[in-house]
Amino acid sequence: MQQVRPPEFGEAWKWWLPPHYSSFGDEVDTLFHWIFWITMVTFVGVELVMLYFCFKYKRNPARKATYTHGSHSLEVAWTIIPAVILVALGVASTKTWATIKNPTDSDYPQEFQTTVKIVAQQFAWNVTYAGDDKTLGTDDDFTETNILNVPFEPIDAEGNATTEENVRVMLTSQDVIHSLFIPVLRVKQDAVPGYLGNVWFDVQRMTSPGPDKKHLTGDSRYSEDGRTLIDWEESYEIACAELCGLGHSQMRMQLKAVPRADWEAWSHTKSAAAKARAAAK
Amino acid sequence: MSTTAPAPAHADHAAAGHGHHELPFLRKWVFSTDHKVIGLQYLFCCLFTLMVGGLLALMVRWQIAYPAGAKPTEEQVQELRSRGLTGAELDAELAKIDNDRPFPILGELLWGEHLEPELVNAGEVGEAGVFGNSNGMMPAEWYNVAFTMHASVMIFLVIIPMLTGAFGNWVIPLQLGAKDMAFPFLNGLSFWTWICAVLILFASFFVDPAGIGAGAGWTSYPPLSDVVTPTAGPGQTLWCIGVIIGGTSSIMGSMNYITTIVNLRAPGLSLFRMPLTTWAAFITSILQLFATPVLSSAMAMLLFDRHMGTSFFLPEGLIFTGETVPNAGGGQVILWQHIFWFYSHPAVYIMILPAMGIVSDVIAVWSRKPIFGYRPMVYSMSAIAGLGFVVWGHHMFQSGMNPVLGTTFMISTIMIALPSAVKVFNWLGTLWGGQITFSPAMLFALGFVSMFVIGGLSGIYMANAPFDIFIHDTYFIVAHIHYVLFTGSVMGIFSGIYHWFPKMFARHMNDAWGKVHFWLTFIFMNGVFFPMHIIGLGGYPRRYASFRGYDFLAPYEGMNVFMTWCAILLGLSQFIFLANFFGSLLFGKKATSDNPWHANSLEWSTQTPPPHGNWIGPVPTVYHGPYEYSNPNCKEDYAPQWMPMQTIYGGSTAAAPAAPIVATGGTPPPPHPAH
Repeated sequence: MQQVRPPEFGEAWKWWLPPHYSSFGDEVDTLFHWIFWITMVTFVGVELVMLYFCFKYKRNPARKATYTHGSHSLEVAWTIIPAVILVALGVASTKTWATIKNPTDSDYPQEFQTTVKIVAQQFAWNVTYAGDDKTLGTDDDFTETNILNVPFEPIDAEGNATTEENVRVMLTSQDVIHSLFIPVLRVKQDAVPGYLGNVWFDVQRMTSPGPDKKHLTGDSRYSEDGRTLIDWEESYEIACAELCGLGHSQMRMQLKAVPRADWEAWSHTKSAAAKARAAAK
Repeated sequence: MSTTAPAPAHADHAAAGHGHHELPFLRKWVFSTDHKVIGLQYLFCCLFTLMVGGLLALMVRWQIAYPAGAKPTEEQVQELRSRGLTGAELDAELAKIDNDRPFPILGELLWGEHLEPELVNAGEVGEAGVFGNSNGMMPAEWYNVAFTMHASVMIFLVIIPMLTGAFGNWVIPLQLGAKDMAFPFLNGLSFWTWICAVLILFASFFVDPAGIGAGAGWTSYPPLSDVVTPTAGPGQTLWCIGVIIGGTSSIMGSMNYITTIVNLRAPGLSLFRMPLTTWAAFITSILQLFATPVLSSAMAMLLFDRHMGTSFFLPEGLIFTGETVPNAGGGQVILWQHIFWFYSHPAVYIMILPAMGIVSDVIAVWSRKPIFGYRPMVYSMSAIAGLGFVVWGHHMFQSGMNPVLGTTFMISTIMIALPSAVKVFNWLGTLWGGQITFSPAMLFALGFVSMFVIGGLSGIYMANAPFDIFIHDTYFIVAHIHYVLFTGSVMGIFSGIYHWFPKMFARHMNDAWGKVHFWLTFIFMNGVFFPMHIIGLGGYPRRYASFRGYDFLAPYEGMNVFMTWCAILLGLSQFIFLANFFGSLLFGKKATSDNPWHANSLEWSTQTPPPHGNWIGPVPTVYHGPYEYSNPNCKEDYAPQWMPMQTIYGGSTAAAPAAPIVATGGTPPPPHPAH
């Protein structure tokens, strides 16, 4: 069960997390909310106690300070209780971690409908698509720079995926370390030269506009109730998150999520052209 | 005011000068082997490097708030429209608008005269600055240098040397009752080695005519730092050499401290009677001794890769600007990260543990309370140090390291929050029921505790590997490190300076200005660092020379400008401190007592300032632990370590309780012949 709508924070998302569009985005954000509340309660508690002590035990010559070297039971209590909370938090996070970074190790279904290879360089992303034969390393592969075009995963009104659309990215770099950062998918993975990394994600197409797309409501691309998308191509920003030199902050890529049929058509055109070029050589 | 120093000391001193011959000026103040002089040398040098590091920070902040290429604002466009301009006319007017702001004062000096767009378009070129001409605006390569050097200066030239060099040197032998360090010459050598590191690191700014120093980040990940390119040229090489030399100084210092603490404690001063400042210095030194050689080896490998054709960190087939890197092949990029963080994570604790020690002592003195849970405090510092060696992988969650390792490091990292929490709770316990005086030292210590909580708790977000995916390398981590290292370590440093100033210089700092300094620092540092959490949650990547060009970063412009102005005000507030520090040094109220704060530890037992050799005559004997504050059996609310309990039980031995008071779990002092 996926969340139908991203967390609704209105226009103020700049104060909070951006919306998320991947199937694991919700799990990641849920962990964040747990940590947020645990740490907030601790923070407010500690600060209030400290302020209270500062006022209550302000220097007063009429009183003598309490003479104590500590309390064994208190030490035990405030060691054990945080330990239990922290370990529980750690254990609760392992499954999400495995789902995202090590899917073979989790119960996540292992099928990738689309596979692309990204070779990062100073300061661009070269995305190679497998083409018609769905195999990388053949004549009909084609490469686009700074555009990651993938089919989205349609989800119904309940938030369930009607078709699986998992994207696998084989990620590497030809010069320095870069890092593929897709904020709205909660994806980040370093592109390391000499090493072929694996990243996977899906882009779930929302059945209602995200909070930052409110102005689109009423747009002809939405059904009358404003909830179901009729036809939608969305693009998101991808940034480089690992310092890679002068142009680090200019290493921007577009993530385009399009319907499967459109993507097939686009891929076929590009692939045929690439094949023709290869044949001409 | 009760006299606390043993009376004979003064008499001795006055009588004969004790056979000390005056050293010549150079030996006494420059090439000194006296730990106190060396400590003060570190202190003064670090105040200077702190200003350099702070200036670099302001440059970084300015660039983030006002990168080149500012577009006309809505208001400016509206204003032109309201004048009836449209189409090409409007475009022409818009092109004349100049919203770029060079860094105040220094911008034009460093990067050339700033000209209006009209003049630039007309082909005019302004006067060049020290580092070439980019119309007065900081170029991206210099931005990389600025944040790299900001971090390097603050870590290697300010916080570590301030805490271990200045406070470690000055405080350890005095709190131990030692006449000096175990190896005084090595101590002086360590300082001058560090000075070489300072000079070399600063020289890295100037060795390249274009002013491109080290710009690969203080983490210097290869291959960016590993291949000699125009942007990683001689500056980067000097940076590596500087860090190796700085590390050598650290190793010398830490060996000295460990030996001193193990061997030169005063009679009766068992390990568990040492004040926490010294305990922290002890644990930190052990960390330094084990971790620093690893960093030096990493730097050496990096240098070999750069200049000797080895390939420790370079895999095959590396292509830089269209050309294959000739020596690349067989190396591992991620190897660097493992080695680097094996040092640099413990380094975080090297930078925070001594501050924790200082703050513990300050809180005990200024709330007139024994440290709550002295042994748990020691154990938790040891646990932080021990765990600190097995958590380095949390810096590498997204590096491509085996994800199974990610799980392991997540658990170990989360566990390190525990001893940190125990320390915070014990500080609160120490405040409980105390007699709290809000001196500047205490305010900074309280500020440390309250802000360290934020730094500690925000660590849990990043320790959580799945959520770290999103915030890794964003401003969230920048917020976290600054809450630990600025609102933590730097507050600890200020606290220590205010606390020990009268002992160091025999004069008092001005309390009122100290408080003003605290409140301004406290407010503005939160203004700088807290919003970083928020922009980090929005995914704002760190080390970006410009946010322009990204839709998702555009909403943070206002917040960035706010942080930058807070940073400027934070920087200006520090001049209050400098004025107070140097003013008090020359004109401050003279210290009338050797123990003005009625503290217990040994540094307060000697003359003010302490003489060469620390104590005239034999060193004091220690009779109990350092935190006997407000003992109900004592007349005073403190019981100095160097005084037997009998003499302070309200003046008469008859008033003493039947059982001897055993301080903080230590064993009773062994009988020691009176000297």
